[in-house]
This record gives sequence, structure tokens and C-alpha cells, in this order.
Amino acid sequence: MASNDSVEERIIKGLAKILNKSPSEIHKEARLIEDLEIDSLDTLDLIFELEEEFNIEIPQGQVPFVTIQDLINYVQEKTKGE
Amino acid sequence: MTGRRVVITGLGVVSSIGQGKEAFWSALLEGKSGIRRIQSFDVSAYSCQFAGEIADFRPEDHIPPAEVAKLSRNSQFAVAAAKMAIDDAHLDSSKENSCRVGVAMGIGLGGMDVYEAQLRRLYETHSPRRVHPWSVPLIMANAAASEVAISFGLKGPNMTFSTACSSGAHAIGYGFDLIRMGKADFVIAGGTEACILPGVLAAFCSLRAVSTRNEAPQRASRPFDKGRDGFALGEGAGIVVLETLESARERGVAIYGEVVGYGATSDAIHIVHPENSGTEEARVIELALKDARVSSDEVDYINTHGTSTVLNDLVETRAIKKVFGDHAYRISLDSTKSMIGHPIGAAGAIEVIACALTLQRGVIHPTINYEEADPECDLDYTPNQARERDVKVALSNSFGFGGNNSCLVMKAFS
Repeated sequence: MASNDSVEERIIKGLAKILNKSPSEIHKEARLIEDLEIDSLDTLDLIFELEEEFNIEIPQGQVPFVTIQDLINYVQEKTKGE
Repeated sequence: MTGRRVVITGLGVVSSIGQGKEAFWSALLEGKSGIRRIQSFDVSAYSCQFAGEIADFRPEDHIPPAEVAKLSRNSQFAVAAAKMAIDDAHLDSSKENSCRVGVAMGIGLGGMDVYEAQLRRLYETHSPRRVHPWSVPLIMANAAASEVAISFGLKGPNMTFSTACSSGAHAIGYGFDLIRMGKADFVIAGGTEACILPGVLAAFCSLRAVSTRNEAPQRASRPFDKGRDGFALGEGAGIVVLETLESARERGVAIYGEVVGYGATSDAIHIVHPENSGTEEARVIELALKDARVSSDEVDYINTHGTSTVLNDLVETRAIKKVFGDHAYRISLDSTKSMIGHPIGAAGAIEVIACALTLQRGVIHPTINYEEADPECDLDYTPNQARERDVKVALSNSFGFGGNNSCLVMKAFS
């Protein structure tokens, strides 16, 4: 993922990789479980990719994301001021 | 013991000499070696620099692209070979009671490709958080058996056997037991292994179990030849479909052969060395023959364990002579490992596939690289050239590190 992309673009590209889809197929209003059907292992994969991509730590038990927009908000908050 | 009759109706193989039973079989008859200098990592510092690496395996030919990255290499081999075997047997698992279809898988080491890669990440980053969350389900030894069950919706018994070099043979023996005892109607049975990796190869080199004939890799695996100096590591998978004779007849599918006996024993002496006189290996062969109700003089063909180590080939020859006496000299022997090297947990299963094809087609594949006779190994190893022979009874020997011995007896079906 190119680092000059926005947080949104980087997250969508990461999800596309995990779900083996094209980024254009993933909308930020999509719900992770209900719409994208990601399972618990995919969720761990996503957290792993996000931690690496954004150099952040997402603590265990803290997965309050329903939609991709929730994720974007969370990462933007975590990386604020960088 | 008696019980329901069990036949082999499907074969799937992924090997360094060919994918699928026909490519594998023609390569075996041609005497083609799958051993070459390792390409996947730098081997310049290793005492053994070659193996039976599979260069042309394309997982996406057999597995949905989205799933490929979620399977370790050994699971990819297993799912691919299982698909070939199930297709070959014309088995539509959705038409059978899936709770009566089991999986029995042999594997020596598990997902070592993932394990080595993740350890490297851990050591390089000094951060346990950088170890991928999928590591456990990809590394665990029973992943391949589970992935086969998931791929085809098979809900019967699902077992993994890890008895080093005899793993695949024990898995098939167990599948045979499950069906004849009535605990399953079909078993997808075999073995898989993918361990041609820096750490695993280093360990085998340190054990001095592998050949160091780096100047001529294709001539390195030379079972029973006087100049043998160790095995060549291999990789791959072999899977068979086992079912009752009754269901094979009902379904009207071709039968490769019947599994009629299985023996399993332990040397209980040493963690790697076989019992030297051959008494223990002879015991497992006798046990399997007794189980099969086959007398020793009925045996036409033995697919040997034949690793190309000095000790294995000598002790196996002694064991065969103990069991068969003068008849030992009339049996055709061969070693599949002379061509594919030693794919550890897959070996016994791939060798059962060679037996099944021999029973069906009446040709013994050669033991290649047999150049100089060893006075202590004086049986007929089918040197260098395939030979036609009508085989009624075939044996497959597998002897694993840990003293785990297996022998399977198969009969031609007409």
C-alpha cells in the first residue's frame, strides 16, 4: 500500500487483499460481518494488517467496528498528529 | 481380522515427477528422477543441496484463489491430491451420507513453511505481535486433514497420523480398518508433506541422513545400490479413495485393487535406528500377511521402504529374507523413492498409489540409479528398467523414525 494514499484508501486496499476482492467492490458503508462476511480469523488478519500498515496497536478485545467507516474513524483517531 | 471388503477406487498424486496418476505413472515407468538442486532457497552452505522439489505445482489449478493463501503448502498438496482422487473415483460426496465419509491423513512435520517464515519474522522484528494470527491453524499437523474435510464437506472420522516416514501408510491402514469395521463407508486416506525448507533441511543434514552427492543430484537417491549414501528429501501428497467392495460395485466404478491386510508395530529400541537384524521389520510384514490371510509364497511384488540410506536398505533386505526365505528371490521389489526422494509423511501413501497402479496394469516400475550390487542386498530390486509382471499380491513397506513400522497388503481385483 502506498503511504501517500488516504487512510480510507489504505484500509480499503488492505481489506480487498484479505477478501481477495477488487477495492472498487468495497464500499466504506459496508458492514464487516453482515455485508463482507468476514469471519473471526479474517478479523484477526485485518487487525494484523492494520497494526502493520499504520504502526499502531489495537488491544485485544477492542474490535468495535461494525462498518468500514468505523475502522477509518478508529485509525484516523489513533494516528492523529502524526 | 475379517469384516467388510475394502477396495481402492480413486488415486490422486502430487509429486516431483508428475501431477495426477497418469503423469506420475508414466514418469515412474520411464525412470525419471525428480531430484535436482534446490531452487527455493540458497543451499550453498548445506552438506546436501538437492531434493525432490515440486517446481510445477500451481495451487490455483485445484483450490479457489481466495483460499490458496489460507493453506500451508502441505495442505495445498493434500487438497489437490484429494480432489484428483475423489474425481477419479467419481465420488459425489453430496450424494453420499457425508457423516459416513472419513479422512485419514499422514504428515511427518506439519506446516513448517509457515512456522519457519513466522519464526523469521519474530527474530527479525523482535516483536511477537508480528507473528501472523493464522499461524496456528496453518502450522498444526491436522490442518491438511481438516482442509480436505472442509473442501468436500466430509463429516466422518477425521484423523491425522504422524509417524514420520510411515505416516501416510498408517493413515491408509487406519482408513482400511474404519471401513472394514463398519465405522465409515468411504475414507479419503493418504499423506502429505512440504518440508524442503532451510531449517528442516539443516536438521536432516545434521542428522547425516541425507545424501551429499551434490555433483549429481539425479543419481543421489540410489536405494539398494552399493554406493548409496543417504536419502534425498522429497515433498508431495498421495491420496486414495477407499470404499467397500459392495459400494464400488453398486456405483459401477473401476477398482484398482483390494486392501486385504495391515500391520502396525513398534521396534521399541531406538528413536532413529531400525532393529539391525531385521526381526522387527519382519514381524510387521508377518502380521500384515496374517491379517490378510495370505501366505508368504503368494506375494509377487513389494514396494519397499527403500530410502537409499545404508542401514535402511540393508535391514529391509534382511527382513524380507527372514519372512520369505527362498521365495524372497522370486519377488519383484522396487523403490519409488529412487525417483521422488523421500517425501516423509506422504511417502507411504504415494507408494500405495504405485502399488495400486502396478496391480491394475501389471508393470513393476524400476528402482533407478542401481549401478553396483551390494553383496548384502541381493534381491531383485527391478534395477533401472520397468518390467511386466502379472501381480496378484503386492505389499507396501514403510518404516518410520521412532521405530514405527507399517505393512499393507493389497490384491489385484478381477
